[in-house]
Amino acid sequence: MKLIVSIIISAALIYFTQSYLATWWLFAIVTFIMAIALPLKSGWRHFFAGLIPVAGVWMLLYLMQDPHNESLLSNKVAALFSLPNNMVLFIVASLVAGLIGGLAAVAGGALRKKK
Amino acid sequence: MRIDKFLIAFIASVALIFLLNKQLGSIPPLGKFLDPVHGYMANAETEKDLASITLNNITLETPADPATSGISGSVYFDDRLVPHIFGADDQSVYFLQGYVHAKYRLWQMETQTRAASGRLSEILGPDLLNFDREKRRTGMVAGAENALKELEKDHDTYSCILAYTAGINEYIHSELKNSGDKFIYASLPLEFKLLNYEPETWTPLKSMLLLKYMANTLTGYDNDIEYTNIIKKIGRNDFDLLFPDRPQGIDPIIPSEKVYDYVPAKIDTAMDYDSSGYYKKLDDRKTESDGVGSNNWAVAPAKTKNGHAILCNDPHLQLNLPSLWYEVQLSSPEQNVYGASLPGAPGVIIGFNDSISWGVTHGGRDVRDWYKVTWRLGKREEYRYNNGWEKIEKRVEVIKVKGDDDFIDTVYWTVHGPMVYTDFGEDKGDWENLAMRWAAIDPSNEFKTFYLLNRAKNYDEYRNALQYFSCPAQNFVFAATSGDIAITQQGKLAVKWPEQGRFVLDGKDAAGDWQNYIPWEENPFIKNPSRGFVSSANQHPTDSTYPYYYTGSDFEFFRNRRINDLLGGMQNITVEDLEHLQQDNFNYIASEVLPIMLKVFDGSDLNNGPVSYSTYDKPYMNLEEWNYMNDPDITAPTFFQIWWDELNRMLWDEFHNEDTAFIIPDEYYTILALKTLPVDYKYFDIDSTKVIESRNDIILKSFKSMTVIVDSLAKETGYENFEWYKYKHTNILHLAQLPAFSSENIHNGGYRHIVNATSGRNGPSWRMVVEMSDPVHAYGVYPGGQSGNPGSKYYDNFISDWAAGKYFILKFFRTEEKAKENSMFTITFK
Repeated sequence: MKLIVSIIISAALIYFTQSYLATWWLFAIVTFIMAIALPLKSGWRHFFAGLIPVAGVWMLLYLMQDPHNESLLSNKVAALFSLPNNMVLFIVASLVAGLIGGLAAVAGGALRKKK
Repeated sequence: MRIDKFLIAFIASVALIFLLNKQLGSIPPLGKFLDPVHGYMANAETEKDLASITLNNITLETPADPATSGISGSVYFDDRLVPHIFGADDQSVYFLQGYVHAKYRLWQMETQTRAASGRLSEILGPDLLNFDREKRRTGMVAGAENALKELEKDHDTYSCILAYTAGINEYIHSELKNSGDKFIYASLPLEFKLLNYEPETWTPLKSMLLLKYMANTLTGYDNDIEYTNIIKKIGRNDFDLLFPDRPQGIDPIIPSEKVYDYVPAKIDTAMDYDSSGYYKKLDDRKTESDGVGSNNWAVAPAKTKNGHAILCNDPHLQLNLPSLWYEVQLSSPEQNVYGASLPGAPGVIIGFNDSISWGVTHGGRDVRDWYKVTWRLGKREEYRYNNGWEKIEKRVEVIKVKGDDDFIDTVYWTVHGPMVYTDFGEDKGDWENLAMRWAAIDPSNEFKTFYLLNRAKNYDEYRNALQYFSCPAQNFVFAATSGDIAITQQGKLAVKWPEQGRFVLDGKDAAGDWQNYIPWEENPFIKNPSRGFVSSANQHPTDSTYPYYYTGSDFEFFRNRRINDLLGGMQNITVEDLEHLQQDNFNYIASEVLPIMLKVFDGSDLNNGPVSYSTYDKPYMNLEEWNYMNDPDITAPTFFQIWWDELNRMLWDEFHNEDTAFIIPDEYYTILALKTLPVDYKYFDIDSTKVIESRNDIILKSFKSMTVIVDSLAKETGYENFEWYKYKHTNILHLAQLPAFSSENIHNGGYRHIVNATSGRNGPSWRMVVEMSDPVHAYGVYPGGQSGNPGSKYYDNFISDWAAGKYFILKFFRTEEKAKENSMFTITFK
């Protein structure tokens, strides 16, 4: 339950920072602070509480924007990185961002439980 | 434990962020680039990018005329994203043109001017250092600086360039930067993100650099050194035979009815060519145009169905994305003109207005000579010139290199010009003692010509406009609603004694200098010739009655004849007829030489003929039936081309040398040799074989070689890949050579020396047909799109129509109302 709450709050915050602020890695600060503010039972839980909202929001933002361009550019950029199509590009990019978010959350969680 | 966990996770996440925030080799900072909102996705064009906007209170900070600093006008974009710019005055029009060029083509403009000025290493790293050094050493920047000084002396062109520059910078400032004058990453054009750098503020010098970039494309090659080596090797008689200045059968631009009734200016003649030694072969040396060229023609009302003159032009240049050209209409109370513009330069380069139309092809005149420098006491301090000693001028070039220290290069300048290869860092042999004289470095104001053409009303104003055009020499074709047609070869061209500049000149002797220039009125031109048309396709400008000596390394011998053959026979000409002529795929070379090549089989059953050419029997069969058309879907052109290339290679084996700079005779001479020389003439022999080959042996051997190549190609890629378009393989490549942003293997016919001059990388970069009726009807297409953004559907949307030979109606509006009615969206400046 707490995990889901954490994911929802994080996702909302990340959606905001990602959309309106130009620094791409602010989501890592969000998941880091969320893990301190809302401690979970284990490191793995923190990891997923970080990964899921970050990867989810990135994916969501890609998918919201992409149809307006009829996937024209995303397919070209996928080809540029030798990936088969735009979906693979979106998934890989979202997971890498998610990984960073997850690790930041684990770090935050470790800090809180320390005392 | 938990401290460890914290540290590991914390360091890992920070390290990942750090890594993805940095450029690694050619990989952009991935975190920034992939950011779904501010990264590349911000460049994915949507409907929102095609919405009307209004910009208020725009003024020029530094107008040429302080009384008029306000900018007022509107840009109406039609359904092909062509801007129709209506401004309150000329200043506003050029400002808005700068603004839209920047909005759609900024990265291209930035990159081309960087390339021209030898500043690519600064953004792309040490790999581009030699490219940059060569640009600096050929004097491109000096040429641009000289051009700028000339332009500033002329009030019209000066105020034009100031307004244009301000328009570009207005876009950079207002759309790409925040209030703190920092670039907004999300707003940057895609390639800046990908290559990880930021645009510079535009300057008038950059526009001049762009012109020099074009001049370099068109005149940055010659044969002087190769000819010097060849004449030393084979002697005068053979040289004159193999490399004639004026081959038999030329079909010049100016028809023979023209009378040249003036005596040319006298100059001192002297000297012999330099014959002291052989010049080395250099890897990056350019000796020919590589398929860069152009066609243009105009037909008189008497020859057309509707009774109006019709003008056509298709410049053949390297096919790139974003395209070299950008269509635009410019309208103010002083002018109303439509045509192809060069992003980075104001005005229209090839186009039309209500009264006249004009187009250009390259003149092909030799405007680059090499002078041998004699050093005093062998030291590079003083050199011999005109019975005295001159001090060498050393100019230091600082080349910034990404990820490395600055590179300091010293360029030696003589009275003739820069020494391109001196102290290059690797042994260039005798090249190190050569100075280059190049017309593109001299002061001139080519913009003035376009400025005046854009608003010219008649023949006299067309002629008047041309006098300012110096380099590269161009053939300006002209047609007017009045029915006049004309063509002029214009450039500031040196008066030369016979063969001056064909070979390396001796720099000691001032008689080798460019002592005087042909008065511009004495350049070749003709108005309303009796044959009812004018045309040019980079061939010799005149017949032998022209009083001035001239030479060129690459005059065309085939396209021009085809055009003149067809135009001469045509009556009741329509726009469609001339569109078809621009697409004409007739292979003149094949038509003249293939019958001779096939004759050696002499009626024997070709499949069991004297040549055993493995299992593949098709090439021969369809060559006999071929109509000499290089159409895209047939295989005969492929077999012919391979055979012909092999034949040229074998026949001129004397001039293939690993170490010494040679070139082989032109294709017209190869045809002539096969037709007219004794069959056992010495050049038919292949030096490397023990037997002595005759003409027929060479033809058979090259045929056999062709079948071997065909077999191995077939094994590699399959028989289905012999269709001409697949073999020719026309690619329209992104300027950064990124395949994902390029358009490859275009379905199109043609080739070099064919009217449809589409080869692997070069081709008709803009096709235009203009009927000079009232109102003017114009049609055009280019292989690209108006937007330079790979994330836009307007990036390459013309390519399929271009390849299929289709044209768009060019919407030329007489009133702002009409432009408004036909617009997709508008940018308004108040």
